[in-house]
Amino acid sequence: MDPKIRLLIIDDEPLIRRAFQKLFSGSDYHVVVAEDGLQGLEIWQKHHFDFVFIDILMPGLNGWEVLESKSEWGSTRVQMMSAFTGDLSDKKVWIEKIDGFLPKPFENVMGIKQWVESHKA
Amino acid sequence: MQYWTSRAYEKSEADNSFKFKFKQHAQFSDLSQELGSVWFIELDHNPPVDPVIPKLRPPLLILLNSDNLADYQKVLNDWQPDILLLANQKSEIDGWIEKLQIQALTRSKKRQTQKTQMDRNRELELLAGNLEKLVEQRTQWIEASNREQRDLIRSDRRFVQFLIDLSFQNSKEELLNSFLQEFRKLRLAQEIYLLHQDSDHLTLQHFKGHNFQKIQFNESWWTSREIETLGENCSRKLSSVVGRPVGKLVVFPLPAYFENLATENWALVIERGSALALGEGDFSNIKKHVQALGLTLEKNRLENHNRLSALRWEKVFDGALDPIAIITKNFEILRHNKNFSKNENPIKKCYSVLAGRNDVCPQCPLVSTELESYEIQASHRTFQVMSHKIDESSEFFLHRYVDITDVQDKRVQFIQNEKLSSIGQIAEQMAHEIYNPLAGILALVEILLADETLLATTKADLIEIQKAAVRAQKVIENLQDFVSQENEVTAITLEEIIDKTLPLLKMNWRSYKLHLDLHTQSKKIHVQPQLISQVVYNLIQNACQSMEKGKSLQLKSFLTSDSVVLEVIDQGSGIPEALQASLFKPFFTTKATGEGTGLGLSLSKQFVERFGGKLTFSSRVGQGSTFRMEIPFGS
Repeated sequence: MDPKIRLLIIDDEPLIRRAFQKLFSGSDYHVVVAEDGLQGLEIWQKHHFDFVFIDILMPGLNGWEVLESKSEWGSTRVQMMSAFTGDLSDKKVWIEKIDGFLPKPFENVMGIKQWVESHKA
Repeated sequence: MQYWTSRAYEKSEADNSFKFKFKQHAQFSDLSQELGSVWFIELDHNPPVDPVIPKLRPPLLILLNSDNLADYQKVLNDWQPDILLLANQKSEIDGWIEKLQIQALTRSKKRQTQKTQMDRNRELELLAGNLEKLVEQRTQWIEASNREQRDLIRSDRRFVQFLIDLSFQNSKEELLNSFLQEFRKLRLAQEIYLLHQDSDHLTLQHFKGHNFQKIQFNESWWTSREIETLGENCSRKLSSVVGRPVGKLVVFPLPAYFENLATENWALVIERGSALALGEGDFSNIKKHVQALGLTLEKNRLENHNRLSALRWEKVFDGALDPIAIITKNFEILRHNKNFSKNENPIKKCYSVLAGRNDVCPQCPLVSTELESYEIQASHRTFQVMSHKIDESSEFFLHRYVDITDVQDKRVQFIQNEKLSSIGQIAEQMAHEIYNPLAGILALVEILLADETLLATTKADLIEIQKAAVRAQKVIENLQDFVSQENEVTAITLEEIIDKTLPLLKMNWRSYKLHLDLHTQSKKIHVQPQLISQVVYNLIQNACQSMEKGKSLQLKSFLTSDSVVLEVIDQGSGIPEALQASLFKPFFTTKATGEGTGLGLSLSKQFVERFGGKLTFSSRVGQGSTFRMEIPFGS
């Protein structure tokens, strides 16, 4: 069993990053946050994460572009988050690859933690 | 012959003495040549028995030794002297002669006077006679010239009447017939022909019965192009065509009045049955008529041409799809086509007839000349005015009104869309900027609330924060819907639409007492929600703008047998009757320039009508207005 569950949060909203850090506080989790897509991608390329939450609409590289650049992530669980979905018709490829889609505002924030707990390892 | 002595004495004019003229044995017949110069005669012895007693009229006759006066009777009768002296001796009469001289003188004067009088009388008679003759001559001459004048006048009057009659005749047939009748009456011709002569080809037209007959010959008869009498062979040739003997033919050229007419090829040919030659007066009479004929033919041709041109112009003018009018600079209509106004109006102002206004249209090109384009409103349509000066003095203008309502609508819609899309873009941007923090707040608050160690007060505060964030989120969502470009017709209730719209206007309606009385949740209408939302928004906004703060604003909704009805009732100042007719016109606004576009109501009406609905209102000045939106809930 891994010592800690590693999470990467890529979102340009400070409160969202803070919320995740608070939600996954404690010794069981190691939370890394990135402010924008480029930073997040760099971090993801260098390190492995168990869970990655990516906001779609961000300045610079958006969520989809991060996925395209990373292209492969093994067993990592990836969820996209966003207030607006936009036109998803050309993102079908990625939608099939990711594990889920969280519309903002979150309907059930605590439920996110439950999901992580049930899918670790 | 018997001789007798006698002596004749003559009075001398010089000294009034009596000079012895002659003593005769001669016959007195010689004396007849000297009538008047013999004064008295002495007859000695017997009277002359000369069968020819000269015609003497001596004033004095002296008879010497005359025994028997009866013997002298004949002499006395013939000579009829004034004085007869009988003497026996000459010596007796010497003394008398002297006395006689004096008396004679007197008588001579008397005679003279008589003679003069007689002469004068005779002269007078002569004069009178002459005068009479002169007067008679003159009278005759005057009568003759009067007759001539009268004849001339009669002929002129006749000609003038003829000309007047001509002006009523429009067809060549009528014309030629008139001329023919006239010529026949004036005995100038028995038949007339209209001649057209090319270089080698000629046509004769004449009116026969009710028809025009054209006779053609491939030759040239009229070579001189002047007044010409045609030869007998021409008459014969014509005669063989018309089947009757043809008299003398005289050609009169029709005068060329206009340069572009080849009238030197045209002439009038008269046919004379009579052997009599044409007199000078006849010639000039015919020439006069021929001139008139030429003029009339030309006039008819021009009239026809003009009439056709006018007709064509009328058709174009009337048939034009755009309203067109010719107006003066004082806005009076001189002429208009059917699409300008169906009725014939007495002279009225253009802004009254076309636009139903009492004053000049704003943006009238006659008033403001620097605008790029001139647009006016008339009969709920928008027209662009194309204004053209007809003459240089700027008295008259031709105005063409191009209906640009549809273009205008499209333009308005386009602007609207542009606005909406840019609003949409801004809204999207803003929403994102606001949404994210809101989501962040809500997420964090939820997490904080999961902490069981929270103080009750802190928990309560956090819950308030959460509620506020949710409210903000709802507003953003409504705004999104409001500016949504989606064009989908959805089944939705009126209440849902009102629910989405009211928050957007809260800044407006919270100064008033808002009463909601909504009862149409059971029926859905099939509309594009954001459009009806805009209508509701517009109605509420107008209602608020018309009221003082604190008054009440009612929103009532209810069902009819086939529709959903929304009534927006305000307690505002009401809409004056004069403005009510124009309320739904595009760009109509009572707000000051820059404050409103006046698009609201006209677009609202369009939106409502798009879904089969109606937008109406009733209003009373001083009481307020009720706007009523009805939308059928059928399919």
